[in-house]
Amino acid sequence: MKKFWAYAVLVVLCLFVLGPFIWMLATSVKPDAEVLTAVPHLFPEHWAFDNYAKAWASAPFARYFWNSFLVSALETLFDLTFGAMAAYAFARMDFIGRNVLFVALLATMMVPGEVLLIPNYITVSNLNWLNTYQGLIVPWMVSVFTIFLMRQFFLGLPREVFEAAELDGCGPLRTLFGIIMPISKPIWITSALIKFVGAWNAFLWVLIIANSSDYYTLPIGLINFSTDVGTVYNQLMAAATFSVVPLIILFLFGQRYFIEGIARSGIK
Amino acid sequence: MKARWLAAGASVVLGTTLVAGCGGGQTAGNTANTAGNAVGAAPAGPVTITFYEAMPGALGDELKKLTDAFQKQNPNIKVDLVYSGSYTTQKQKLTAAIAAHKPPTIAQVQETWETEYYNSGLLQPVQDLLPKETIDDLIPIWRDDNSYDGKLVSVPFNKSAYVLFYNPDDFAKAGITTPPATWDELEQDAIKITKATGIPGLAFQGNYYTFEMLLHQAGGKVLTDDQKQAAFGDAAGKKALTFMRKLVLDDKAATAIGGNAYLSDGFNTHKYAMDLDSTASMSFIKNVKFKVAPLPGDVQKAVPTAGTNIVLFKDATPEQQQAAAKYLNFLISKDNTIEWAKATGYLPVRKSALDDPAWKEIVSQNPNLGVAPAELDNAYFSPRLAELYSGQNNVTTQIGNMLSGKQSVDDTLKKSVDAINQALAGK
Repeated sequence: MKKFWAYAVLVVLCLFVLGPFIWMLATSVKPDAEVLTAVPHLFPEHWAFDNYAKAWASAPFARYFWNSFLVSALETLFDLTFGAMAAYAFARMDFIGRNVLFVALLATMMVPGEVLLIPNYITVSNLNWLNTYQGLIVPWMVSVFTIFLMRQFFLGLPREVFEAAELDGCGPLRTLFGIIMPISKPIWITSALIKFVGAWNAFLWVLIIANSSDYYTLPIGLINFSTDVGTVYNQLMAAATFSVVPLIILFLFGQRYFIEGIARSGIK
Repeated sequence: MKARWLAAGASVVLGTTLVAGCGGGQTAGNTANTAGNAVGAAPAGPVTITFYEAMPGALGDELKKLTDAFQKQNPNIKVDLVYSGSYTTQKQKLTAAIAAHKPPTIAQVQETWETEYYNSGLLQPVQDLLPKETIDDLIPIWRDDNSYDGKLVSVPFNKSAYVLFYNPDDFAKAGITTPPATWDELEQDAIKITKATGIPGLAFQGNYYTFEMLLHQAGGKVLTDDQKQAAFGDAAGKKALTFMRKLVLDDKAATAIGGNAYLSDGFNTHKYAMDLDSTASMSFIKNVKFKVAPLPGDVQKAVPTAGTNIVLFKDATPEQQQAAAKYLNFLISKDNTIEWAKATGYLPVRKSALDDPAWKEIVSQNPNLGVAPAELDNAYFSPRLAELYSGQNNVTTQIGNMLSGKQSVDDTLKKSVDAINQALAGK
């Protein structure tokens, strides 16, 4: 009986989370006349699959997909690499000012992104990186959150693992990438997912740095369906659906590690 | 009006002075074409101008079409259309570009930012760059709206005005034959429709801008002539607020919608039978039959306008300025302003366009399009002051409190006047 109630609660919570996705899918196949109705209904009377074709054709989405993928993948790769190195240093190496530096890094997480927007833009502009891939990617190659997450995880690993590697003559890089990373799968997959999703959804930075559809990513494609007086909901939902599919696939593959990574990083 | 709020909210005060001469020197890939040079004052070499625009979807397609036609006529001029999403994000992109001393050549702007840029000395007025015939032919409200210190600073582009949208089926059910022309008729019709159909007869946005419109109609004005103080703490201000409150609370014949909702969505789902909305909403009403009529008036008629203007930044080289002027003159030529209006639902910006047989033909096919241009003699524009934003926001809150029955008309008026005065004082 206890189990029944547990499942009942879980089902309700699931519906809560899935609701918007279901509504997105439903709206994406409704014809214009059925999108907004006085009595909302889930299934359309007439299915309008051509919303997908129309949405796809309304902007160069193939290019946006490629840009989103490239930018997200590179940002994630660099973030994991640099994040792991920094985390290793903070977790296992002794150097003067280590704790001060770590706290200073954490403090930067309290600065809202909006405040950094203009200074970062000016920096990128002075480097002549406006409207380039490096302008989109380089400022996001390191994130403090990844460093923090990994450091906590590394601190929780048995000291013996590090000592054994060091005794066998591994340098820090070899210890990190040869020994530690393979046994830290949950945490780097978690970090990677968080970073990838963040990069995939990034909007404002891309919008102000890129000046042509050659460098625009998917979120810029999505604002194409809204104006100040109205929104084309069905095509917007169709575009949102095909934009989110890669993320859902990534989550399906990574979810086991994701849950493990979050659960374990809190235990010391 | 939604975007106006958002955009104003995104405003970042700029105290920037610009270094001159960092205009984009990149050249277009096309080779010099002598035939192109023959057209007017076409620049000698290839020139590229950058245009930050916020025209999504079908609007963007139409802008691209016009731009392609221009480039075909002027092979030496390349126009880079840089799409920046909504007005809010356009403002953010411009803010960043200006801070980095790399503004585009031209950009779509709303009046409040235009004032800010103009006062910071960032803009090159177009008065001396456009042919006199073009300037003289602009519809007066937009010539005024785009002028500062007696000079035409920007070009009106995607402009709209407010009209009364109504559902003719609901009018028939309530036995109404002609749309309301006065506040009294509006109120009576809203009551009749509410009784006959069970849905609210009227909807409006419960915000500052609706109040401003009613205030003008009641014969009042927002600011004193020197724009230093609120001027609506009088009988007209009270009348406007009282009318709003009566429609919603006493008559129960109107509904006020919140800041983030589109009026057209509720109209589309038949949640109400009339609303006061911008002509640009027409293309979003697909489910129900609708017609539009001139806005009802009280002591006088008063019609709010909306949309954006195109400004030219001072940093552009003389060649770019010439090329940009040519492009702007093309965008609002008589034929093209008609074409733009026909494709997008925005209004033609030239007097001669309204008299043109091509426009008259369009209106005869779709009479809804003829309504707003005919009421432009009564049009006004809001104070072009970005610093009013916080005060306007506060007025919206006060109106919300009033319409939910928590606050009297007198208190609302007093607090609103204080809010605007404080905003003007920079508090």
